[in-house]
Amino acid sequence: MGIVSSLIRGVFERLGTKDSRVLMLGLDAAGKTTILYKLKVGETVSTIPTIGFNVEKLQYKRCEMTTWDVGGQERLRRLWRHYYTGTDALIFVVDSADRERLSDAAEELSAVLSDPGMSECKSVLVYANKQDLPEALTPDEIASEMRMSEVAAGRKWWVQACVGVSNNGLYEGLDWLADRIMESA
Amino acid sequence: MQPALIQEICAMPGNGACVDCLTPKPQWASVSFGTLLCLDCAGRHRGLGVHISFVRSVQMDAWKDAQIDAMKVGGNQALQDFFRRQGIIDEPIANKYNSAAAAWYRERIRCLRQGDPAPSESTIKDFEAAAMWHPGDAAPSSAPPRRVGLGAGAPSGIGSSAPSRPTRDSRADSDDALAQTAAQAWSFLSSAVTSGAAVVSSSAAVAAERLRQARLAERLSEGVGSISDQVRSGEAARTVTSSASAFWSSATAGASSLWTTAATHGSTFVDSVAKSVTEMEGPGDALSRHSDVARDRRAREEAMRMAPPPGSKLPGIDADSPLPQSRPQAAAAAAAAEPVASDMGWDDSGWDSDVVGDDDARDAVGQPAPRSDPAPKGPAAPVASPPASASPQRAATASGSTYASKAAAPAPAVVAAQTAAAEAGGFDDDAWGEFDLEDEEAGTGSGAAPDAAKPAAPTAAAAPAESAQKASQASGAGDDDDAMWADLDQDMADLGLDEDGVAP
Repeated sequence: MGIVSSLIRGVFERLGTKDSRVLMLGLDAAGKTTILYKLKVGETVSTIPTIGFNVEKLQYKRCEMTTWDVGGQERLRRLWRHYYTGTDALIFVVDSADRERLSDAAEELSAVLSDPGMSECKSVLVYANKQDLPEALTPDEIASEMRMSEVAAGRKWWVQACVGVSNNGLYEGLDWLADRIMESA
Repeated sequence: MQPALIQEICAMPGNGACVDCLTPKPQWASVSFGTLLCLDCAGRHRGLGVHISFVRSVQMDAWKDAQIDAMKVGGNQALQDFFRRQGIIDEPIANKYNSAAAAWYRERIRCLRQGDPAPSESTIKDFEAAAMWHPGDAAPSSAPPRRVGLGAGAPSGIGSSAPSRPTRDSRADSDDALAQTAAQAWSFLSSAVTSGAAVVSSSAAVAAERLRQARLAERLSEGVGSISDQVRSGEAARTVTSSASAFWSSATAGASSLWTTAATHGSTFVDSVAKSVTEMEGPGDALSRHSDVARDRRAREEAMRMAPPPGSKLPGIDADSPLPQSRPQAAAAAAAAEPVASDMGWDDSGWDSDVVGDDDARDAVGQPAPRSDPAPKGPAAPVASPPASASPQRAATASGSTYASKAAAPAPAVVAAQTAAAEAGGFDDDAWGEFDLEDEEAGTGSGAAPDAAKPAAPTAAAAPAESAQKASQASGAGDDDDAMWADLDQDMADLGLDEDGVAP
């Protein structure tokens, strides 16, 4: 049974895999790198501020998502546009406990999505990260603060509560994203 | 920040070295404490959360006046002296900065930068209650993460459209009821056996075990229910290949007859077993077990409604996806990733390795097992992992070059040239030395940001002649990514960042 099912799955797993390009953005210290490596290797890595970028292939469901995680410091944000071309989906990570800078995050997201280079990006997943911290905003509050329905008009979007260091909520978000990517296949 | 300001702040006592580890020339700052940090300690501070330590890059962030004021009233020496007085100078970062003393110091900085008088050190005790760590606390260097019930109580997400729910017709519902009965029967049977045999085991262990088995059974039977439902519908069955169909049918038939039997037997024995269990453990336990199972089920169904349901793509046998293939793979991914997947992800579909009954799921789908040494610190090499000694900057650049050089589509020569230049050493320290921060500021001020369409002269020029030669030999390879890489290289060079992300 074990061998047979392994063989069968091995065959079908190779059929219908969709490659996609996913861009992961957000303000500095939002948790992008932590989330990327949590999804990639399943462990909480201790990160340092990303100068430049990280890229990993995430295999999930039938999607192979080449995920780019770009540093979020103010001056690094000017580099974001170089990653836009060909992006199928955007993951925008927000520090839910950083209330003061939520408006900055909203502005940045708006700027990213209004860029012509992002015209191919049809889905936006917002990770409302750090839900374990005191005074974290709920996904509802973040969606309205960031005016998601306005900013992401014409795109499918989803705000997912999550805790990057404990994995909580990450796969719910990825589930949604993978479904959207498969829909557009 | 203005260069003059940077100089002024760097000249403050103690600011020539990281406040925590004394690495020279710190280029990051904790605005909350008015101190300068090295890259590594900046990473640790960021992990504390912005309410503990708000980290900025001296070079790469825009600074507000209030933040600069905080730096002016702070200083590394002042904080070090304070921590020394408090006797916590040698504590790990997570302890030091989660202490009452640190909370008081944050408040002190806040007052001073606003021009208010600083609070007296005698008021430190007022911050004890909120502190996550106290001197003498043996254990955790940081507070355990608060467990949040995503998807259980409050909705865990909100989006442009409600997530699709798994379609359930009446037969599915009846299957579901059957599954529930079977699960409960299983629960009671196992409880009878367990409590009968394990007289010595604690009641808590018994309950945990029972709950686990109930979940397993429920998952198992749900999986069987959905598969058998799919197989029974005529059109769907026709679309599958005969061999696969035979395989799954037999599996289904076997499993569902097994579960029907279990359910029948289970319901027959429910009363007597429940009675015996009640006698053994007292009525309270039996009742709570009942409600545990029910509550567990309710909670998960709630979660399915709230969160994007993992079960929305039921395994396999329909026109869109000929055979169950996504689920095992995803289950393996989840297995490779974290237990939360089994908590929240796959329960509802029943498609995990328990159902299929083998332990080879991970191997079968080629999913890499979690690396034992996963933690590429910070910017890790994407394509090829760098040696631990490789700097983040180089890791990123090197992998970028690898990536670009692998591409096969034709591209403008300048792109190829630049790729080659980067490979051949366009990013070595000499090249970095060609640009400094002032150049970058000037370029930005005039709005002359480099663009993907423009030739990237500076980097190519900065590269050794050898690389130019190499570039001319390059027959050109690249796609959009090439242009992007070239452009990125250009921008990084323009920024004049060295390995720590600072201008030399």
